[in-house]
Amino acid sequence: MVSPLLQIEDLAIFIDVADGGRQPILTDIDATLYAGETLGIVGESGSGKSLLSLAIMGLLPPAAHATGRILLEGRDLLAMDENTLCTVRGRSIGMIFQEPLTALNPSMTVGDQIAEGLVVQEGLSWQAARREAITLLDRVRMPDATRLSRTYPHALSGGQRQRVGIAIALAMKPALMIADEPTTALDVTVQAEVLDILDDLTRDAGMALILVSHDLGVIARMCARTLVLYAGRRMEEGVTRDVLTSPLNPYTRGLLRAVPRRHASGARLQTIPGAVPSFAALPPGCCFSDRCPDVVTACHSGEPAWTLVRPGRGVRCIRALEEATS
Amino acid sequence: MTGLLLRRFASLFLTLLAVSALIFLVMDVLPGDPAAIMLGTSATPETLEALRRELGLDQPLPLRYLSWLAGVATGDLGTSYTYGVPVAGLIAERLAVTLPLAFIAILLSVAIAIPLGVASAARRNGAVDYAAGLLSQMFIAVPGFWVGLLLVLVFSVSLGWVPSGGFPGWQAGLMPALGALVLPAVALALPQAGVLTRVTRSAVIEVMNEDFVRTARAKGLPRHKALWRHAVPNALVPVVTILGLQFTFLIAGAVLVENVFNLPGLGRLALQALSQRDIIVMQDVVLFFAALVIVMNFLVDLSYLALDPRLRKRA
Amino acid sequence: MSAVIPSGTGQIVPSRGKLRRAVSRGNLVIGGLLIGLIGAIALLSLVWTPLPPGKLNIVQKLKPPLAQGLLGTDHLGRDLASMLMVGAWNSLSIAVLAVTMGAFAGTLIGVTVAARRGWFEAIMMRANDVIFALPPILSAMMLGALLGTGRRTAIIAIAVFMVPVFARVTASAALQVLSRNYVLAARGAGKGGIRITVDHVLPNIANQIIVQVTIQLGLAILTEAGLSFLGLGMAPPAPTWGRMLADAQTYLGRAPWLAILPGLAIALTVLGFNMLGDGLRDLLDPREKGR
Repeated sequence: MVSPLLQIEDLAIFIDVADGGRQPILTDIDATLYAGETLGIVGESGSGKSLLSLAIMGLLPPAAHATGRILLEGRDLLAMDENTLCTVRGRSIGMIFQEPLTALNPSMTVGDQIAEGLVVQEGLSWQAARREAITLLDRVRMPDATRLSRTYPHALSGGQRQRVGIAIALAMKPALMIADEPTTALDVTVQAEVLDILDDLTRDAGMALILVSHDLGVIARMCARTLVLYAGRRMEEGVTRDVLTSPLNPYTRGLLRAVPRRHASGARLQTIPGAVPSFAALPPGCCFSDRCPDVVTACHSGEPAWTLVRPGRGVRCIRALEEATS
Repeated sequence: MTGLLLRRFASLFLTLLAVSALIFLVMDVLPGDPAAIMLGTSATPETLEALRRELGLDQPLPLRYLSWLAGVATGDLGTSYTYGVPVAGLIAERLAVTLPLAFIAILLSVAIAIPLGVASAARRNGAVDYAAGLLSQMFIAVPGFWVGLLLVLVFSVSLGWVPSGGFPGWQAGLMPALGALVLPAVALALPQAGVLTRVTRSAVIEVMNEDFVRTARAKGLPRHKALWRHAVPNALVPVVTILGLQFTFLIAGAVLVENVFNLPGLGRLALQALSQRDIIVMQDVVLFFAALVIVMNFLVDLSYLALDPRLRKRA
Repeated sequence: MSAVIPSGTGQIVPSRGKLRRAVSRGNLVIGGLLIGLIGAIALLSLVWTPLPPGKLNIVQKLKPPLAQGLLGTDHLGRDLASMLMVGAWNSLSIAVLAVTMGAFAGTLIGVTVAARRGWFEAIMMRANDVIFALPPILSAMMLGALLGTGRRTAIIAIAVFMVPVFARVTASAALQVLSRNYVLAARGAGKGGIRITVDHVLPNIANQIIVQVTIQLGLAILTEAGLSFLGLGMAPPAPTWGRMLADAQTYLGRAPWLAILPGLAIALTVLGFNMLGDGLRDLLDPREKGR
């Protein structure tokens, strides 16, 4: 059997809080990704999904601490020293960030920003790396790549900036690409094109992709498998089509009802009542119990365990198990 | 871009004009007859009248201002009353001391402040940060001329390594001349370095939190490379701004330090002119200093264009 | 196509260094103690000094500390401790007077600029640039040539330089206050510009002015010392820290304490004001915290 590209085992992330204690943000995260696979991670803002991608990059903010294991090709990233991590970042894992404007250095030409990793990590000369940067800009379908490679980020449109972001992440042909809300900051009209580019290029290169988004539409389009997070916990995981067509967790159903549909004209858009609770004020038992439409008394008695309904299909909900077994 | 340059240039010109008018008004309108001040108590009415005519004081005020301006514009700054030579030549001669002194001091302060400020930003709240904070707090508090005195005390009086002051002149060779400027430049640089360290630290801390530094790290750049290649260049605008604003204090410090080390610079020239009541020299030197400060701040404005590509587009 | 998801997030406040808070409080306490002590010495000098500061005693000249008096004597045999005490009063009183005058005029200009904008702002800001190009040492020389050097000239030269500093700080602070909703409401309710300035702007920018005054006092002490070092400050025989340093230059080899002690007095006073200013800023002006 082929060994997985990425294996996250029992990952938890804590943040230092003002009174000197530690607040858990992500708990009990397990995930496995094989080469070339695509995994979507969906959750509301505040569900901890951005910290998860930063943890894989080893770029958690100083106040955050991770426990557990993140194995990349069998090597534990969390146990790795900083120098080795530097050789992993960019070369084995590429990352695309949410805000294409602030994620680019305003005082460096975009070509140099793409070329920089090749120079620092791969030992290319600046001249060769700049030529490669132009090729990369071409591949992300940047018009007039040669000229635009010499411009600064402020001269580009939002969509063009995000293409530069993709080119930076692609430069060293990493085996794993992490895209954290890559289209959230973009106009709807350019979202589709940027996703197209991302899809084509990762597929061509056989890269595995982790796409983090609050947008189920984006996940449905890009990812073969989906992991649903709520309040830092896995709520449901499975093949994307299964998760979207026959969700097992009431939270996933709530998310799906909240997706606006073209056909359902006239009907009111549903929302999940309430807001994601503060990590310091989670309800007892199931973390979703205070907003769940299907809540029963038993939900409050304890945190439901993560249960595999069948291989590759997991859920955290006591009622889902009732249904599955009955 | 040319629009911005033109606006900045017009502003530079206006400020210079206003400064010259202010200096002229203060020197010419405040109570006190320059001729009488220059001649002192020994003046007879006849010599007084002769000097007044020689200085052009018998002409109406606006005319006197315009002729001074016209002189300044053509490089004719008038004739020194005590030395009997053109003021322009005097200033040029003294500038050969003051300008290199200021330049070395700026280089030194930047060479101290940037590494210190970046190091404390990189290890925020660490031991280096607090040590650097303490050091810069001290640099800011000590008067530069006192540092100069202490340096003389240590390096020339106690150790006897260098002469306690004076300037051999550039004709004596590069090394002796530079050697005479080193201690004064250190005395001048330390207070500047204190201010710059603090500004560098806070500017770098702010930039380090920017997303693009994280992007650089995601490319696999080690911490120090992301810091120096991405954070520091983007933190330079506030640092250069303060460098420009501090220039006026650097000039003031130079006058004092020249006095400590007995350097024949512009500051000493102004002081000598004051004690010899050589009003024309004072007026010209003060104008020259003010012009230096204003031009320096103009250059700082220009440097933003080099430091921040966004401004090039907007301009 | 995109899911509408209500946003909500845990309120997580990463802890700020305890050390940083301790340093901020330390600034306030140490700065306050230094300034309190030096201020008390300055006041005491008005009624008592170990010896009359001007009393010459040539026989006992250039005695090191503790050999004659607490801190020794200068080249004329005057008691150094007494001179330093009176010097503290001279320095502090000039600095306080100059900064008060500069702060008053600068604040007046600053709030007016914020309230009126337009041509008044343009002229005032240009005037600020002009004054800023003339450091106090130069203006003191110009004034000194005409009015004679001395206490008055020193105060005017320093005060004039302080005006643009305070005008800038108050103008930008006042503009922020003026854009707040309750000020807009007050204006809508028919309150006039002066009433708004007195009722809303000044109380809200007072903290920033206090911080600025403290920091500028340090700068004024430095400037006064420089002026009297050059002979542009208070006339002799009044003892000033700056002139004591100038006199000490001649005797650097024989009596180094004459060059060390007055400089130390200046540095400690400036350090005190700067630390107090930093501490006050952390306390009163939370925006700047941790900078």
